[in-house]
Amino acid sequence: MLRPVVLHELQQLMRDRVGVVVLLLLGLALAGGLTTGLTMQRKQQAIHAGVQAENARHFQEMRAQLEAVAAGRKPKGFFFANRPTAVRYTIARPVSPLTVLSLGDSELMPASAEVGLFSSSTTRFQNASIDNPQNQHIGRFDTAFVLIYILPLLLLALTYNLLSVERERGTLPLLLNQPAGLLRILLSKSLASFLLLVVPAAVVPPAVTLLASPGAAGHFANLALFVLLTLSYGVFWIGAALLVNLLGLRSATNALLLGSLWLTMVLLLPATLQAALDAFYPLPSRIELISQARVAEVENSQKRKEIADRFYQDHPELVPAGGKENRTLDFYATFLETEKAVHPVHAHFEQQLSAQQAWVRRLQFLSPAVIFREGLAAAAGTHSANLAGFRQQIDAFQTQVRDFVLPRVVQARELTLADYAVAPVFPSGSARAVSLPWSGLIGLLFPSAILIALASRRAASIESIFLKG
Amino acid sequence: MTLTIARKELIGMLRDARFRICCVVVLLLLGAALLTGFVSRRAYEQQRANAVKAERHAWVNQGEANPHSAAHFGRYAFKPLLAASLLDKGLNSYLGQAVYIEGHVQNPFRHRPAEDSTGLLQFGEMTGAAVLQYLLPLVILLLTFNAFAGEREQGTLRQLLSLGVPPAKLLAGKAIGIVTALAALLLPAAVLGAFLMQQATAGDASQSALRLAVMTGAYLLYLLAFTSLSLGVSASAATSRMALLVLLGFWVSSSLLVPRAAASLAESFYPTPILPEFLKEVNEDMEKGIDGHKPPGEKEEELKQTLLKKYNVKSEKDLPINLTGLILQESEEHGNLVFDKHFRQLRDAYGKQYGVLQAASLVSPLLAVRSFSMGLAGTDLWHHHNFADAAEAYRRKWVKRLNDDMTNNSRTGDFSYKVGRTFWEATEDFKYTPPGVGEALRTQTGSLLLLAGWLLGSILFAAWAVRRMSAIEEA
Repeated sequence: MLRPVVLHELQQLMRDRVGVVVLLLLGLALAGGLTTGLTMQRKQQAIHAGVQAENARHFQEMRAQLEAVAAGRKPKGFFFANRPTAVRYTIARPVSPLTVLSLGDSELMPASAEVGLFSSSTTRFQNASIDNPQNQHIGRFDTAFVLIYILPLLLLALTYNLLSVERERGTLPLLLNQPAGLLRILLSKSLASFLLLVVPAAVVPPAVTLLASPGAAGHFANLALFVLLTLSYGVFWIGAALLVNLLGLRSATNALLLGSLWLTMVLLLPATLQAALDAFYPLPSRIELISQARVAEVENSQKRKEIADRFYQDHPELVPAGGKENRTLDFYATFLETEKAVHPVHAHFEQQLSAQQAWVRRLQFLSPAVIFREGLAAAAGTHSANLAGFRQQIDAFQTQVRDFVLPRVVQARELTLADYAVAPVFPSGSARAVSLPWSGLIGLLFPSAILIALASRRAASIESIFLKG
Repeated sequence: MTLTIARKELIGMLRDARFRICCVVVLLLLGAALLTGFVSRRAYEQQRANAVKAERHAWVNQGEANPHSAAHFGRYAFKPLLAASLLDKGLNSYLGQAVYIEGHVQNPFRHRPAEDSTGLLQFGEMTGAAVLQYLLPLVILLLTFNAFAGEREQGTLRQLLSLGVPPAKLLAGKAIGIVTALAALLLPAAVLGAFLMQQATAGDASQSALRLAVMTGAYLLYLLAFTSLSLGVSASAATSRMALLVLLGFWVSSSLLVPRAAASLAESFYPTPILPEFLKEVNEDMEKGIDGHKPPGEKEEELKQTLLKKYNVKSEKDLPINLTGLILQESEEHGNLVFDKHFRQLRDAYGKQYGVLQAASLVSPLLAVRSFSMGLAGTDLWHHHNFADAAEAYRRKWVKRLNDDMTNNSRTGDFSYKVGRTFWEATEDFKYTPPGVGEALRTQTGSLLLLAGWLLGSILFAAWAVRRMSAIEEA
């Protein structure tokens, strides 16, 4: 690159007020985005703490009941601590310390999971929320929003007339007479905008995160991906601006073309894609799931005896001691039967959703904005795919809890404090890390390379026409 | 003269390739959005109808049970979607579709479609409303940014004004031309919309038609405001490029920045409580009592003594009624107070946040039209709460019937008492009539006034701008 050109352009931008205004706007937007991100991250952490406290309170209450009974006192509240089914957990979903960088899907992810003998695979994950849907629908002013939507606009505001303004001022021939070559001059000029906007936008948020979010320091690969994705996204928009400038149109037309490109990438294409996916892989409503489960529950509860008999035939090891009636175990047999009945509906639902998600993974390459969103969310650990690790942990824990509770149900044993002492504990370690989508970088840099290659051909032909003329 | 100008403007536009491309794109998107809106609503309503039937089936066939077991078996209420929702999905994706009705608790709504979505949802949904709110202003802006500035740059503005054409007539003529072009563009979409609405309406067709008509009116206000604003900017900007940049800037700020910033500010001014805290406070009030009301636990003994005295018996076993049923109902009544208090507080927070958004409509007309549109489509928070209230009122009546039956027909301590199919069948099902247009309109008076204010303001601005417009380019 041409250092003098870059420096001159930077000086111009700062002197010209435009650069100052744009930089100021970016600073304001980033400050807003980071503040929202931090506020939301703290809110999610507060929910996490609240859920954990509730879980701890439950077990404390159970122990207190047993202690009271052991001491010959009347236990507080309805006494059920002696039942094996009282061993049930509410596990809070861990909150990523990088949430401040992109809220991603974190607000819609289940905040907790219920684990116990009767925890159904369809309702185990708890999504209940009292957040204002009004604000969720508008969308959050988080860091990712600033980078996906606002950064390209500001960048385009600086670069849409990089060359066209020279033509309109009549200075184009002077530029073409430079020995450096048109493309190199333009690249150097746009490098100035890149240094002014994209570099701070890529670097400041991770720096703030490292300072403000304890626990962020351990995620250097994620932070590096965040920086590289942002830089690459900036390169894409600069490439687009270069090519459009070299088409030889007026500044106003450039602005319109680049504006339309932005609109297509960040609004039209994603929304149209989603509409198409909904048409090809329609998700049945969860309502269907509820009603199927209800009907199965009723039908099975009427056949409880029959289901229990069959269950004991299949599981002779679980036959209650002395052949006595064991209502909990009968319920468990019926519960499993209902789970089996609901399973196909649930599986169909999950299948449609994962088909949609698979298509998003493929089609994201149509829009840099979508690649960027997916990449930022994954880097921040707030992508819906990041839930997979938590789901696996919960499934494993569910098995562990069942293996603890079920034998005690079979033996119709009353729980004691000793049982609570050996009850399973949810592992506190973090979930298996989801692999980072480095391919997103290629998805952003490949179209950028094409844009710049096309721009370079245009530049060469403009130069040759000029030299011949 | 005004009409001549309008005709010239219209012909110019129809010959403009940009306009034709815009027309095709907008019509395609609008048509596709309306059709997908129609199809997805129909699928939802079908599933809902099946679910309502299945729910009734499950309730009636639950077998013999104690009324209080039935209170735990519970019922479900599924939220219907109005026909008008095919135009504007509003908050639907972020609102639960069903509520579990059971004894002891007023449950929050479950199953927000957004939970089961891909990340694309965050880029917004393609609905008729989105095309009208986001895209059409852009089309208008594209058609009008050089209405005056362009003529000035070509030198034709000077000629026009030197002929003695009054600027106001010039403005009116251009506005009529542009609005006619837009109307030609929107008419097919409006016909399609009306047809689909009519197809989707099962019950009172006049309600649907009214909702559609009022929504159309509001969109006209919005689009006219954008038209006059653009004309005004075009008249006062130094160059057409400047006019374009100013208008694009306004669009970005009105459609993206202000709404999101306002929502963020609203939440920081009036924070929404978090669920674990909310539930904890509800539980505390349940146990400790609120507003001078004793918790049911403390009232139990009192109630028992009163009854023993009333029926002149020694032990609760000798009472002709079931004391447990009365205590359960007593605890329901107490719970109702607690839930009323906490849900009211929650809605107050939402209401204050909405106030911030309304205030922000002063700088973002999109916020005003958005609120109005979903308010009439029945996909806003108010309609949701209307349904939630109806479901809760049903729950209270339903639980009381179960408790009363237990109280009157069984004795204290007798848990073997059971009722069966005839009792379940005699249970009234949950029925819901959505509010009428008038009521919906009343909740949106503020948004309507704001839209009208925007239109008036932008017309005044345009009139002022053309009057002081200069015919020659400034050096």
